[in-house]
Amino acid sequence: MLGLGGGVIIVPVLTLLFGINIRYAIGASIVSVIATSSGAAVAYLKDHVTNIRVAMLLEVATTLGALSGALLSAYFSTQALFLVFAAILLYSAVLMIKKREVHSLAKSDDWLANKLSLHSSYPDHREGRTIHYAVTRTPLGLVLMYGAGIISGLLGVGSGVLKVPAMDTAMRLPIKVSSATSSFMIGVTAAASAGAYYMRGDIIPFVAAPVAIGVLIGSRLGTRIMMKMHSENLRKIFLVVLLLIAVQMGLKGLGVSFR
Amino acid sequence: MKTKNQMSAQTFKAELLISWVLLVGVISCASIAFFGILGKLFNFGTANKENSSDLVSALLQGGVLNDYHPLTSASSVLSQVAHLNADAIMTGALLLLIALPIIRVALTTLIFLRERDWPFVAITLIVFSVLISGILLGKAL
Repeated sequence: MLGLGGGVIIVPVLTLLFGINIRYAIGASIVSVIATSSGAAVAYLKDHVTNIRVAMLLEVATTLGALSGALLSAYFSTQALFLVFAAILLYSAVLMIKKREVHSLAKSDDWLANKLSLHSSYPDHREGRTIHYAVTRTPLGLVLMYGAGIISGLLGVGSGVLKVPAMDTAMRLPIKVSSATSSFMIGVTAAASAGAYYMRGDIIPFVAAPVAIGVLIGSRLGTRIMMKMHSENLRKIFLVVLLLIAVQMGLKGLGVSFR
Repeated sequence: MKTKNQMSAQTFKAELLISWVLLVGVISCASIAFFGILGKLFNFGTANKENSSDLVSALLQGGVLNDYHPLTSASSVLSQVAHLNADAIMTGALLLLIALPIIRVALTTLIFLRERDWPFVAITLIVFSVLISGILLGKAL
């Protein structure tokens, strides 16, 4: 509905509402992220918006990050995980509030982007024309993606919320391309850490399976509801929800509990 | 302006096909998992380790399941599934789901190979090996 993998909602709901151990919540969330990403790939690709080369290149960074994150999570206490989660949620809220004015470039002298032919174009239906764009600051994008990967591996989120800004602000990709490409990527990123989580026993089938199915159904309904709502109301609702959850997660991290 | 990144019609069709396969894969996994869930709820099937309501109450208290060990070899999963073990059915569906992006990366490598796009063959192979090492490393932990 809002272009997020759902991981940011799943983990808080499972831990705050259902009281499930955060490690199992993260395991279940990772599985759902894979499900939503794989299910949505067709829609974006069909419209020629996804930039597969950029996606694959950046995935080198995100998968390495995801692996690092998954391995690191063994060293994070449950409370630390809650606190990091709260921080990420606050950051997402800030990003939502800030409006981004980015214009895509026609040409770029990014060596890597040129060498690997990352520049492309996509048909913008609203504007009724094909928009050509150039990719820039690829090395910076790779570094940011490594960071996004770590967060994904650590918290079980798709970190689309971190990937989209990295692509559209740092690398100057048009927002539609960033969203589509991010959606394509998050499944692969999640798969990188999912293997580790599964082997560690953090993916409990009886938790992960229902959650994944629920998210798949929910996202279908979400797109339908979204069509009927005003975007401003949507943003406001989401911001409030995000902040509430951030506070709850933060409190839980600090040891305060409402149960 | 036609850049090298403009996918040839062939490549686009191939990637689109892969994406459709992913969608079918997700729906199949979800359906299989659904039956597994039903089975677990009604404690159907042999060798279910514990009662589902005990499991649910343990989870809702935020506990850690000390006697949960994931099935770590394909053969054990398959043999348990054949015995209609609800846990194994859910596990099998989830493992297949996790495998989907990995399969997609492997197929994309083949696509780049056919295009003779060597830098991207290398890039996708690197991603593939990171994914595989994730599983292997997890096993070692």
